[in-house]
Amino acid sequence: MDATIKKDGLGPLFDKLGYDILAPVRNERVVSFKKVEDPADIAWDHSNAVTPPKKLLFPQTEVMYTFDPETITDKTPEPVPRLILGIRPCDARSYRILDPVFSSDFEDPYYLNRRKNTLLAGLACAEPGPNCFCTSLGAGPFDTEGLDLLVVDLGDDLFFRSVTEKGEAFLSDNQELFTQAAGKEARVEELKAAAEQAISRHVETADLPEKLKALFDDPVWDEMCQTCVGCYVCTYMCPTCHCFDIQDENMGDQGRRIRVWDSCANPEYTLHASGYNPRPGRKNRMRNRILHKYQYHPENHKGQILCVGCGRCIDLCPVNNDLVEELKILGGV
Amino acid sequence: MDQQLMRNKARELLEKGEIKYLFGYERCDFGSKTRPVMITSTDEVDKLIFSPLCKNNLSVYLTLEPPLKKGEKVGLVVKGCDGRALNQVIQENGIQREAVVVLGVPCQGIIDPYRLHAKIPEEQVEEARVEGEQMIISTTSGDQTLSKDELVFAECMACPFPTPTDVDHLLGAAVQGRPPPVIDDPFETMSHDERWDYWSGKFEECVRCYACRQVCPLCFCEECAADSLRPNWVRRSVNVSENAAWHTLRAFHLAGRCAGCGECQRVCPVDIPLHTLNRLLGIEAKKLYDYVAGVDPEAKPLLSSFKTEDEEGFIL
Repeated sequence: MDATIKKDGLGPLFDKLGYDILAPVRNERVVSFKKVEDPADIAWDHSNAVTPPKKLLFPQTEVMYTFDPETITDKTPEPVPRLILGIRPCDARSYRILDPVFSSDFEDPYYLNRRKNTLLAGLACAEPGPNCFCTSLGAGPFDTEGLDLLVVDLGDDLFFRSVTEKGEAFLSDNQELFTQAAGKEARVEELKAAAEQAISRHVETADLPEKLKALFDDPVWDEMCQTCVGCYVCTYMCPTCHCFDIQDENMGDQGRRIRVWDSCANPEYTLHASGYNPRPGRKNRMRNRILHKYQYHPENHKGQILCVGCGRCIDLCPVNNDLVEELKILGGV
Repeated sequence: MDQQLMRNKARELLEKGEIKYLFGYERCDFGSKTRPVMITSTDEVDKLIFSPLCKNNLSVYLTLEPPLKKGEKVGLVVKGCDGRALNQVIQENGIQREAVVVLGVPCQGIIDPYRLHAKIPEEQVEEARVEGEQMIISTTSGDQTLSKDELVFAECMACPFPTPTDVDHLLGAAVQGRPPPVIDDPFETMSHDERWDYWSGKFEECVRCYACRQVCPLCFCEECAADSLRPNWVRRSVNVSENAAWHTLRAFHLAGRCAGCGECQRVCPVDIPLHTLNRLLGIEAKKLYDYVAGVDPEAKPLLSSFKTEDEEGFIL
């Protein structure tokens, strides 16, 4: 089903829904996902949120439970209905990639409870950024995989297209607030073609998981990793990186057990209690990041590469290391 | 600056065996950006470039692990601020001066990509060079001339030391420094509550990626206080309070040590004006102790020197 709604007509929709709506919001030069009360706060005109929306299902700091000498209080989130509005197709795809991670060996209630009743209305990417390469990973700027609804920004209007039954139900439940989209489809197709054209970066990734198997000890890593300074930007800002650490934080006789994002770029990540570190150098750690994404994860998850081509790691790297170029050096054509 | 001058010098140093390898800048394979490069043989020296797009402070590579090997000299390309950072590290015995052959580049200011891309989209920019007070930007549709002050970082606009001192080889003619920064600090007139509101709005976005620490040549502690679990100075929870603890800790550890390159602010993915913190503490160091970081590699570091006339009113 297709329908349109005026941007300035979102208020009544938000009021009617009555549950949390999470959308990209601008804080000076930084766009990130926040809970939105007033639809006027939503940033429509941006390339992508800097901090990826994985944080909405897998927050950087998750309080698992709190404790004191007498009691333990469980803090597992309830599966409440929410709408994520304005997630880019690449980031929505990251949820599809993370789902098996948080559900195959162990059903992670923190991630899955949030995931369960979250409706995804994705914002088609009409103007991809200079380092976007989603089309190299089997996706595209108007891709609908993982979305319930695809939203296209048509200026004053937003075009909604249902993708799943949940999306269809959303449009029919709220149909009095939407208008018929007749005549807008052609414009949507035009924008889609232009967006796909605008993606200028490509790397052939299909054979990489196989090729990388032979490269663990290759000298290519020595040169490639010389200038990495070892910060965690590429991992924390990656929509698919999902490693975490668990810590207890106490104050007096009160405490809480938390789960926080961790990064394989951190030497502590592999540091043994004995003091031995199997990944002692920046080279070892950077190699792990690339191999995890393009070899180990596909090996463990039915060939799925742990990357959506959003380009954040390239945009944000302090020393301008470039994953696309690195993949080409490693055998991607 | 004449690129050939730098390449010739690098080739000469490598050929004569005066250095084992060198850190400089090269163009990225894609787009207009530049990045640090480690040159180990004379075949690679033609990669070396310098332009107003070369933002990184390469002095950081001398103190990142693995430590420099004894007897192996390293070549290092520095701008004015990078050279001051290096001087400060040398003052503090972070490295020995003899371990480095310093190639100084007189700097005309570094382009702020936000300011540049507001005028010319990123994908159209190819190269940039300075001509007098103008910046010539090569784009996919020809050259564009813009005023330097419209494009460079705020800290570069008021840089007192654009030409590195204490170098082994100065590549090109010295650039005159500008008067020390007279920046109207809104913080001077802000109340404590207003300051807290301002900074908590900034720290709210911080994800503690530690890019600010990793790019900083002066952040060379063997174990960072932020990584310590016992005692746990900064908790692993990421929230405004712990983020503020981290940034305050770093700012105080850099008081009288920060050379002012501004790289921490440039690399911050969420745009926290970190350099403002360091700059304000630098002003305090100057006001209280007449000390400016990194101008003299022989001087004693501020925090390990003592004079009887030192200001101490703030203690009581």
